[in-house]
Amino acid sequence: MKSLGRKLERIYDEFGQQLFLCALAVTGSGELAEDAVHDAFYGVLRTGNVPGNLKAYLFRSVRNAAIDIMRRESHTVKLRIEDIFECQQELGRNAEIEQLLDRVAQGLSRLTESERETIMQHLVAGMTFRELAELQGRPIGSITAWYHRGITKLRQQMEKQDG
Amino acid sequence: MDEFEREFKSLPWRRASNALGERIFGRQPRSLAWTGLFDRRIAIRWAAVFVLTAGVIGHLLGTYGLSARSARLVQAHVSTELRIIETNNKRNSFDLTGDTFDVLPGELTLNIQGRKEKEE
Repeated sequence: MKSLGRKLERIYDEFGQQLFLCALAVTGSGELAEDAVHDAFYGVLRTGNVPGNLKAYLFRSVRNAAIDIMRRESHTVKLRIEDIFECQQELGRNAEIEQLLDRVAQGLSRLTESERETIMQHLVAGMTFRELAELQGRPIGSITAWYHRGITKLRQQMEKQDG
Repeated sequence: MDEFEREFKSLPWRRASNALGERIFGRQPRSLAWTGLFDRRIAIRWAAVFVLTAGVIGHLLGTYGLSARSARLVQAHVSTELRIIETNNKRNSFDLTGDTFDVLPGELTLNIQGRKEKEE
């Protein structure tokens, strides 16, 4: 049990931020994403089940925990800028940046869940399409299609707002 | 990755709070433990390796280095002539005074040559 704890700590040290961003892509809320990461790690610690590929298992567990939280609490993804971006006081943002972040948040909220999740997990969490196919349990063709369709929509929305 | 994707990636996305690690494991993640001291993340295990290595090097220097103690040990390996007072089948008597006394209480080794070897 002690060695499992050490293994989990090592994975958390290395991939904690990536796991958090994976969950953030589903929940659209920092607090709920942290809850999902916590639930996934706690679940493994509580049961003591150590699958062959613990890292891959944790990524799937975090995503499933995030989906469960959204279903259980009947949450809807709101994507407010304070939920997905670092808070204003820490970064000392100006009005222009604030406006840009608001437009990105609005643009993301207009995408489908699959498109938004794939874009954020690929671009923000830095996961490859192959990893995402495994994580989401979908063919790689669907993942790339969601990504390209979503990023095209997002780009068009941003350009429209610029115009 | 085009310019739009790069800009999107570089936005100030939220990060997991430091409290999350504490919440999961009941303590601060190990990699953060020395952050304040070195202003960067250094894993404790590397700090432990550094301390152990420094200890081993210190021990080796203390034992074999040019310290006062090792100099005394080197001096103890001087050669001296040992005078035989009496030697026969029953009794062997040596003179341990004079220069020989200075070597004491170090280890005393006797090289005894056989009669034939001596004659050659």
